[in-house]
Amino acid sequence: MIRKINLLLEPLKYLKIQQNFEARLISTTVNLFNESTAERPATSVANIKSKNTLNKAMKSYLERAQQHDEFMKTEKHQFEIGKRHLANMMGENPETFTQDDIDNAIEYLFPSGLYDKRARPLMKPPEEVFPQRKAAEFDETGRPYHFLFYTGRPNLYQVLHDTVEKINELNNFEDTMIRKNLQPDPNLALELSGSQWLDKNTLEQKLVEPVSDGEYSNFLKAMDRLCSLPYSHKAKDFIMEYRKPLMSNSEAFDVIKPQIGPDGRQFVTTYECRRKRAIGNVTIRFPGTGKISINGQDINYFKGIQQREQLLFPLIFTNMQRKVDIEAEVQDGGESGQAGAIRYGIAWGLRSFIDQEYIENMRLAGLLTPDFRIRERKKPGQKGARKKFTWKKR
Amino acid sequence: MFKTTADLLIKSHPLRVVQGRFFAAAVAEPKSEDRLQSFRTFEADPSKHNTNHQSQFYKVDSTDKKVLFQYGGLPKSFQIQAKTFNETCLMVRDPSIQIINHLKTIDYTQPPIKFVLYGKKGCGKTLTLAHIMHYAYKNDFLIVHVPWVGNWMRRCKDTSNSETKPGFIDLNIDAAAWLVHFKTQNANILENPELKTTIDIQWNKRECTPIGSSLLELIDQGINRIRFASNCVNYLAEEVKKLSQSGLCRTLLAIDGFNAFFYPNTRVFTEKKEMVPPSRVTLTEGFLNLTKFDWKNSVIVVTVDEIAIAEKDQISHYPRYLLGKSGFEHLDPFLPVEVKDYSEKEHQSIMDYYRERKWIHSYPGQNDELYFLSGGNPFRLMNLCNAL
Amino acid sequence: MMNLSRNIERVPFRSIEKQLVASYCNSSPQTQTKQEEFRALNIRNVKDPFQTRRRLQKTAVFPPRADQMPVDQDWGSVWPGPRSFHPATVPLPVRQGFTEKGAPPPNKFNNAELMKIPNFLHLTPPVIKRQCEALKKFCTPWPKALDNEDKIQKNFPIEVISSDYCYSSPTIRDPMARIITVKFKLASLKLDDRARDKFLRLVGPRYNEENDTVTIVTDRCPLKKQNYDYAMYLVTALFHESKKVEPWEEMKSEADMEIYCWENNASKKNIEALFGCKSEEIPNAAEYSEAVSHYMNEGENDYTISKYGEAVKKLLKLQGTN
Repeated sequence: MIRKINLLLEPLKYLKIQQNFEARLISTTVNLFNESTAERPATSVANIKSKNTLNKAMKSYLERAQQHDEFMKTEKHQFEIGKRHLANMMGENPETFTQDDIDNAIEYLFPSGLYDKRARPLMKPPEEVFPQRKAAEFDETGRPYHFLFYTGRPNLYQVLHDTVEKINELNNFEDTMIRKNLQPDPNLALELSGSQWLDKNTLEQKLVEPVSDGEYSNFLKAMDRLCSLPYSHKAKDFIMEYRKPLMSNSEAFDVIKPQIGPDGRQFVTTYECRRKRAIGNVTIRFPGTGKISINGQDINYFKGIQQREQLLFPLIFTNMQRKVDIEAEVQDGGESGQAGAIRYGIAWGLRSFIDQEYIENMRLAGLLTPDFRIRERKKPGQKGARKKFTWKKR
Repeated sequence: MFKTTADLLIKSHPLRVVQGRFFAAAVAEPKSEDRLQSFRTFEADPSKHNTNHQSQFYKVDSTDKKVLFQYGGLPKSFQIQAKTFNETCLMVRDPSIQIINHLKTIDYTQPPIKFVLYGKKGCGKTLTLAHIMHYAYKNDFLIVHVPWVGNWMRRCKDTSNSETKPGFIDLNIDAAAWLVHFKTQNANILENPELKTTIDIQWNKRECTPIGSSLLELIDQGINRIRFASNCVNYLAEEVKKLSQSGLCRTLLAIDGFNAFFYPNTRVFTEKKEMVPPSRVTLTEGFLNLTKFDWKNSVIVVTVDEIAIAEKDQISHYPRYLLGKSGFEHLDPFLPVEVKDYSEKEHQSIMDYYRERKWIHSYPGQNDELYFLSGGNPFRLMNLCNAL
Repeated sequence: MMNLSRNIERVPFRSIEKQLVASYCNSSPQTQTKQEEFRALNIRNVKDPFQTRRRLQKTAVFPPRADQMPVDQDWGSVWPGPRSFHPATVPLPVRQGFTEKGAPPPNKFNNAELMKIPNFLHLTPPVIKRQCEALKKFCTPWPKALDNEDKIQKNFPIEVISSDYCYSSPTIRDPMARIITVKFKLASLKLDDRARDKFLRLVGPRYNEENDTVTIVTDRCPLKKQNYDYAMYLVTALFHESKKVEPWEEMKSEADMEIYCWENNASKKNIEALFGCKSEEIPNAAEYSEAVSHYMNEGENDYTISKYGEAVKKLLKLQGTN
């Protein structure tokens, strides 16, 4: 119980609403023992009129909450004043001075080149600076509001509880539908392909509670179970609350729209194609005749047969070798790295000129997957990156 | 890699490829006849070759080949392939037609015209030269042909100090070998009794070749007395010059890797292991003498090649760089003729030729793929096809 | 509801029990009175554990000056010059510092990070505007006639750049103020080819080929005036030196030439020997000579070499291909 108090937070408003009801409840039962319980409500924080006992922990909690409140109030005040000062310094109107203006002004006045942006000077409203804390979970007598309080993770278990409730509901619904001889409509089926479950950290933030690995896997299992039900679309809102869209991936896979060059041909440039240490930019022009220029030279830029093959593979694979022109600029790295970088660039750019079916084939052939591997450094005390010296007893 | 590419293509388009195969099976037979027309010419006489025969193959008669190229003159890899194919076929290409046309029309009473063949490594300079030599052979030229100067300057057999010229180095074995080569190439013409020496040549106290002895005797002297081979070459050069001047014969001077005569870092060493520049090799003198303007009734075709010089200096394939200042001034004015990489048509032709010889298995899209992979370079294409 | 009330009843009962036990165990009267406070365990039985210590006299610290600042003050006079950050003077609740998870970044007081980084508190936009206004009266208007770059270039071919520094340190001299940069276009000197070549050799890397500009920087002397004089001396000396022709310059041979000149090269002798007459009399020789010089001067490429081939063909009267 005392441990829980550490999690306390400003509950005052909440408290005031709840107060009367709680007080009345307690008065019916507890008044009998007033003589023996020596504690007296002597708090000046909450104006509790009843003479009920006020828990000591609760009292200290309330004090701290009030302190925090006052602290936040002064901070907010100071921030407002500071904002006006800053607007005055920069010669702007303080009424229309926004947070963006503040950030720009701070960057101008305190230029810092520190790598981590979080380590640079900042001036933010106190709500953002001071981390959020959990609100009070119990009333002034120590009675928790939440029926799952003693699980230690009321919010998490609430979610699980809700999930099971939904599952039961849907099962019942399914039974009735089966009795009526009705099949679930496939058009309404829940579409989950574009999103994924919240990861553990996000879930922790959402629930304002620490979540262990085991609990997280339980959460996933329960959610999957719910989703697997035939009528899961009825609980769509609930499910979608715990999923986030896969925006980044689908965006990255969007085909670049070709631009029109000065010669009237379409072209697509893929920047920063990498392989090993090599990095290059590849431009594909359509329609073309199969000309290839690499750093101003033709395909003879590469001496080895392997490199040329690498380069031509996406073109041959999509049957485009006579239909496009390729210009590549590549630097650093070695021969095979450069060839691999250009290969990736060609494959990536070619998507703009070919059918979806070909793109899918290219993806399956692994042409659209960048190869991020680079050489691992040698470690002192051993022969190579991982390899150890021959072990000899003496 | 090829196989995987093909497989993947087949996987992604099963229908189309099956059609293609069917096509190949059904149409291949009649088509091969047409193709035969397009990539082969039965005109075996190089003097009748013109632009209509461009990028077609003609067969070099085996007896001609034996005479002309018995002791070198064709690249080794080409010779091996010719042996495998059981015939020697040369492609009629643009630079050789150009030069042959010039040879037909130029005025032989004027000082010789110099043609310089240049081009990247492995694009067919030597084979162009071979084609021109075949023309010259058919037209009864006296052929003075050096198969590869690099063999003298960079891979000489032996060295000895010159007896007649102090400070000079003789490459006697190489010189004798060359005399044999010269003798075989020009066996027909040398039988002509009018070809006689014009001066007395005193080899040493006892041996001399008197004035009026036949050219064959001079050559035999060089071959038999290897000590005198280098000097013999120089005398021979002088004699050939005089005979041409007098109109007794018409000469084609064909030197492959001519720039080796001007590349200072040779691998010819004296006994003290000092490097000998080409200007101090006796053989150089004779051939530089031949490439001067002061004679007529002759024509000069030389090639400049990156491979004739040390690898570290192989920067550019252009003649001015390869010849150097002195070499350029020696040859100037010359007519530069570039030997280019294969054009599409030539590529098509050689691929058909390889297929006809059953040298490669074909698959759809092979021509394109190989053209891109080789970058149109004949030598590289040959190497690629070896594995197919 | 029933369930709930039952629970509620249970809790007080338990606490009563505990209370009873406690009162039996230590039935001292104080416990009752001091119930309000937490009791301290007196192990060593010291009579009065709370001995009054003498408090250290702390000097009164004035509240930060920033608290009294009006929000519409003139900041330029509060912070007139460059200075490291001072928390009591800067009325902004800035924070800086990377902290452990969950804690806010340290505030401006006693924050060394904020003092380490540079600041532009003395150069806020209104202050800059004000300073520009103040400097305006020292500036002269731009001559109206000099309205384009060509005229400037023509009338003032030489450009002298120096810097003056003004700041609040004890010295009024800045070592950087002595440096003089002189720039001018080489074309404005109107040198002939030979003199130009010599001039370029003399100035070396100070000449920029792209915009034809010579840049001379002098910083050897301690004073600006001296450096300026030295720069002017250099320009004069360079000009006259490049016009002078030394006796050894006449001995320049073919090997020393920077460019290929067909007239005095073997190529000319070659064709004269070939045709047996003077080069002027040979038809097409002019074109040939031009092609050769191009070929040698511009370097070898497909274009120059084909030009050379054409010229040779014409010279030797060869028929075109085919």
